Amino acid sequence: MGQCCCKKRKDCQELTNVEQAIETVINQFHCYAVKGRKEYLTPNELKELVGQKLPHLGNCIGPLEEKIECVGDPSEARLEFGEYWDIMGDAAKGCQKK
Amino acid sequence: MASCPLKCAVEMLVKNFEKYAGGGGCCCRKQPRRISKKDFRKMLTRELNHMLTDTGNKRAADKLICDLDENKDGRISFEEYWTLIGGIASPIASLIRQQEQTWCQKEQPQDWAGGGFSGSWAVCMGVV
Repeated sequence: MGQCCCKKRKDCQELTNVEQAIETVINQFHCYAVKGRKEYLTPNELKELVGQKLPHLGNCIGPLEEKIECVGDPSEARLEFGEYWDIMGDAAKGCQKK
Repeated sequence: MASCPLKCAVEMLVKNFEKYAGGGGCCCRKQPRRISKKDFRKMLTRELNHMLTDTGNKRAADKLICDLDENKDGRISFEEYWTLIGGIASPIASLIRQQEQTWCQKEQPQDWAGGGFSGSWAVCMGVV
């Protein structure tokens, strides 16, 4: 209980590799989610993100259009963090197979 | 490497799974690799210790594993692992967004300034 002060330790430099990786995935989402003010990605933003940041893993993810359609009308689709994370999961499975 | 931070990050998370799923000696079998509960707990404390400060206690970790282990086989598959990390990352992502919005509205809160992620993670984990 006496350790609760460590919650606020300013130790962001000491994050583990895994935590840094999670941080990066979040940051990339925020970077591209401009229109949705970091809340969601539009289909175009998603395509840009995958095209620019995951060019080599794009194949593992499969056609983005299909995923976007699952979320709704492509012109209005909003991809929230959860959906983005699932897409990253597909990319991750692609890495696994390699 | 530096030009594709997202790819590296995703690969890092995959490597982390493999690191803990390994050693089971079953890689030649058909079944996909999984992390045992024991190793999973080890992974949480070692790799996510800033995020899960308070889940050092076993109960919380057990609950996490229980909720995660959809097929109740006592082991964590890659999908289950990915869902867990997503479950942790998602509240953090919205927290950061909120923090940044408040940041713009008023002056930097003292304990947040420079505190970066660890602060917000600790807050998130209070929810778990």
